[in-house]
Amino acid sequence: MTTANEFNTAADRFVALYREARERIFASEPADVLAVRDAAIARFAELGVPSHKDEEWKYTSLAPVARTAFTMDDTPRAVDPAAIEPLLLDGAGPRLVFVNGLYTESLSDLAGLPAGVTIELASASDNHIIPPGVLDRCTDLAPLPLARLNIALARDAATIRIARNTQCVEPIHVIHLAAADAGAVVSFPRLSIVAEEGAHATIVENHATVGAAPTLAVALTEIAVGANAHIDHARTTESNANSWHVGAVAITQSRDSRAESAHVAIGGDITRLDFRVSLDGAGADCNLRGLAMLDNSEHVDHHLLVRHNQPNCTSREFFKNVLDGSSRGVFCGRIHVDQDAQKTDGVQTNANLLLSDDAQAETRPQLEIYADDVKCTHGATVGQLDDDAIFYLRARGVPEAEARAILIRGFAGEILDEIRVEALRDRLRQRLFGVVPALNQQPAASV
Amino acid sequence: MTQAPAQSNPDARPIDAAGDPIESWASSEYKYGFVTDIESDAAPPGLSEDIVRFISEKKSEPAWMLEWRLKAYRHWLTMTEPQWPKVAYPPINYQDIIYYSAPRRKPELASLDEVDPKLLETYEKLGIPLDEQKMLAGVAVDAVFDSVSVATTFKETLREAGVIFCSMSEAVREHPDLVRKYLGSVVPYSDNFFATLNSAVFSDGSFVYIPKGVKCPMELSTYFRINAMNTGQFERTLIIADDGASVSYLEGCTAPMRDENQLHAAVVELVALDDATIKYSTVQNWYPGDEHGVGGIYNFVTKRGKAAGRRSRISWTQVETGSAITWKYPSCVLVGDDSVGEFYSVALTNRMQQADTGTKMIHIGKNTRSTIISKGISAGRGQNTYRGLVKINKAADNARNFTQCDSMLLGDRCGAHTFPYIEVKNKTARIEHEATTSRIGEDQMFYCNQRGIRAEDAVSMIVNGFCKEVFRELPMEFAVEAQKLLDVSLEGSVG
Amino acid sequence: MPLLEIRNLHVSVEGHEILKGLDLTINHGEVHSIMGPNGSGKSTLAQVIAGHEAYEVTDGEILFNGKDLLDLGADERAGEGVFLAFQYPVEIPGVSTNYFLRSAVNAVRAYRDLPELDAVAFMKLVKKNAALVQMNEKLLSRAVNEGFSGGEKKRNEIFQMAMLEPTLGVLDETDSGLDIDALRIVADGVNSLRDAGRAFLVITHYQRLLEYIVPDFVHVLVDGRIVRSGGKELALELEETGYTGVETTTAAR
Repeated sequence: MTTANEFNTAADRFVALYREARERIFASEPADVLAVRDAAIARFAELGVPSHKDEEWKYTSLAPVARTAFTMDDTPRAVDPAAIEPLLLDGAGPRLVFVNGLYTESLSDLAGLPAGVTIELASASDNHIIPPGVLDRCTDLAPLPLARLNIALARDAATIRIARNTQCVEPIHVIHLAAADAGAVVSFPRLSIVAEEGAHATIVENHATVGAAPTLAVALTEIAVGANAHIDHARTTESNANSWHVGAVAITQSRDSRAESAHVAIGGDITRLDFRVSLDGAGADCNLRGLAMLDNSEHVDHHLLVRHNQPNCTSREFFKNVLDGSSRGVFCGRIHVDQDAQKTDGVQTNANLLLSDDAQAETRPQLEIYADDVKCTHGATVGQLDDDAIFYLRARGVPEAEARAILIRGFAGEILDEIRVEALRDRLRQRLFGVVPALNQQPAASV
Repeated sequence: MTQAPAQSNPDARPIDAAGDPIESWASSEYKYGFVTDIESDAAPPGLSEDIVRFISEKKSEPAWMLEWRLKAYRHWLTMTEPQWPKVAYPPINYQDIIYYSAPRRKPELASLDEVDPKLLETYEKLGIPLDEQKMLAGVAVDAVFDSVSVATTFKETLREAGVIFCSMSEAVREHPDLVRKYLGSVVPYSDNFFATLNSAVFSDGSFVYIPKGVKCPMELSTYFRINAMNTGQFERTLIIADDGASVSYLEGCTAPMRDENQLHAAVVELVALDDATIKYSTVQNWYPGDEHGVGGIYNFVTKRGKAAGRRSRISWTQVETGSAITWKYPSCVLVGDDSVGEFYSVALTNRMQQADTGTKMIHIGKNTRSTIISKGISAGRGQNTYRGLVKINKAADNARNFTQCDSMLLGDRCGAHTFPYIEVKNKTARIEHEATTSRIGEDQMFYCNQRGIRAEDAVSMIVNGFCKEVFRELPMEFAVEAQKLLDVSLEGSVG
Repeated sequence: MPLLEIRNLHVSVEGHEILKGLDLTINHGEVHSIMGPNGSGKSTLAQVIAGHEAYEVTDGEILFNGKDLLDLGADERAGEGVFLAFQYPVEIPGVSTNYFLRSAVNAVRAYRDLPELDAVAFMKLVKKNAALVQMNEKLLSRAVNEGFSGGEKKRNEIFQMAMLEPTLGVLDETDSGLDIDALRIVADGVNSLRDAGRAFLVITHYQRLLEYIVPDFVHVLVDGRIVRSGGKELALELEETGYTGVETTTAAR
């Protein structure tokens, strides 16, 4: 059993890691940047590493993380280019690759950067990582302790800025690799996306692991969507069995803006992602989707808090888990409707498919509503594959394993099909329908 | 909002529900706010081992009962008040509360004729005549006044059927074996802060035992009345339905209007053995406090049923319109294979009322089924939270749960919140949860108005329709009562 | 005195003007039909007569038996004798049709200073009127319009109209979505309610309905104004030429 002590020790260890890095790595940074880091670590120290006693962490235990001592890379480590090959998109858009949070020029390609899009790297320019306030805006109802840790310790934070009315056609691709060969390594990937008024861009963000030793990635993505702007964001976490990922996607939206963010989680010992959305302008529209296909003892926890602060906003949250082995899928979603957010239209669903005797699902879809003229619904289901549907397919001559595969693909497809970047969608289909054991028993049928 | 021009007729009724029909719905009167002037025996305020001993002695309890109380009291000292409910109230000073108050009376009552006429009058005024001649046919009543049971009707008729229906104090003396076996078997003395407090100081309550194979010949009912000032009410109810038995039990509650908050921390335990059915219905109308949030009852109640036997069934139906704060989660622990748990609830918060209520369905046995229907109505500055847990344990093959959780908002200063928890550890489970939150439909209002129905009546009609699935689970007399209660709350809602 | 007199009616919804100076007079006993293309303002007219709040009357007046309707709420208009058969009848969960209707009938009777109907008298009236539109009485114990088929909903509207005995029945696209048998039943119901004291305003997109409910007058509504009026033969003409022809004529005028 983990005791409260272990969590305290873990928090102390991260604070010590910061103290040491502040001397060694951050010393040359300007005072205002250091002030931001200091404030962030102070806030983290106050909040600590969350334990299961924290209502937000009721079903996800960070005990294995708390028991591990991590080191942080000083300089970019060399990674075989083959590691990113499977992740590549076929388009001509720009690509940024980070290894353990450090920008790796040799793997990146900024050639396709369209006009109107700028990328600022905190270490490569004078633009240091002063948070644009997105995170603060998104955490006033409930803090995110580890996101504060990210702010304190992030190195090559990237900011992608899409200028007013710029229509960026090709997806901008950001790859974060968590790499460890011997000892456990922690990294703090950080990405900020700023879409100015009327801008439109598609961002693909992949988090993957390299090497055999344990990794912990504490990631933070901040997205500020300006008036009438549109951001389409697709994120994946594809981890090996001894890696932990604790990420947050914080989004603020201005008037009439649109944001889409999808997350697909594959593998990993623990993957936790918090979506925080603050709808701050009338008529904003937000669409979040998530899919986890898990096996063995993998654990995925999706937490959402969508805050409707202004009238006439729409939000849709659709999350699905396919759970095999002794895996565990957790969902906790909250739509919060402020008193001023009249005419809110919110829909949230979570569906879980249990494929094995030892898989577990926990789901908490929540509504918190302070305005009267709203229409909000949520739904949750937990169940196994429909026997009648399997029988129906078998009666049409489809072998059982394939029938199961077809049904699982149909279930997951409702999330995958919505991913607009075709190369990513196809790759995930390929990967997922090769990963789930229930599907392995038969060659995948043609789509 | 727009309206036709030249809208000058003062009698013209607004068509829209948004503002007027709802705005002033806080103005209705609480009908049961009177105080009965009666002498009472009371303990001094405060809580200590001595008070626990005092209560036990007053009730001439056997030593084992006192020991149980003391064990609870000592455990309670180590506990802290729960902070997780979505309700806010100033800290309670547990040393200011009077833990025992009873109308002064003769030690033993031979018949109802010996009950203090003032008490009989009180219950008459509440619409609960204790005179068997005047009573609703087919309903036996146990009347609990402050801390003690003052009368139980139809005892003879029930005795003939073998049914035991008496006050808890009497049960401790007369049926110690049953009480010892089942008391605390569903809600242990260490369960939670308020239940543990209750275990230490519970003063009275009802006890029901339905023997094997007996279908209880009439509805059983307890009517709770808080009268004395600064008094907490801590009643404890225990209902056991033996193999193949069935019973329907009703509970009603009111309290005088007082400016201080009063604590009501009750515990209800139900045990259903093989093929037994217990249906427990509550119409809770404790004084809710005034429109500024002054006064009202803190209703912190633990209710739990154990569907212990195969094919047993426990059904909770509640209509909650009163109390300043409600904190209760009538639950079902489905232990027996093929057992069934049900929860039907209407919770209304108006004025400054806060409710954090819902249920827990714990599926342990195989083929267990549960249904949750919750209807929350928020008005005024009321805050209404549904909180519910559906838990499917690993061995609970083929468990089924269906949850429907709807909220209706009337007015723009109230809140409606839904916090379900679903935990599934068995793949054969099938869980469906649906929730909606909306205000009264503008199109529905217009449709009713167009048929000549005034806004106020339309609101009442639509709200009652919204609650229909719950009302139809109530026994007839209570269903009518419940609808009336909602209508009273709707009085004066058209501006 | 005419039953309904609409003068220079201007109506906006959320700032967009839908009706742009509409005039219409209906006398007791007459059946008027309003036809027009989608979006011409037909349904707006129906909703405004019935008193829907979302529509803002920016100019003009509506007199009913000489009384200013715009001063009255929807329930009072119903009491005065205005009935709207909805294009999309609304569902009210948990409220039985019977209970709903009894509340409505007695509310309207109270407005008209008539005594409340007791249960027996009410059921008698229900039986009589249900027969009129061949409405299955079992539907009456179900929640208002909940789970009703399209045809059942429309029949329920006409049934309610019979129950509430209005002096003006406004039928808003009552025919849309009905097959020919259902249409005939609905039309027969309406025809049996025709008398010297009662008038109808039949709003439709299709000429078909007017073969069954034969109007005395046909008006063509285009872009918020009545652009042509005539007898029943105008409907036939429209059937052949379509609304485009009418619009062109208007433009040419």
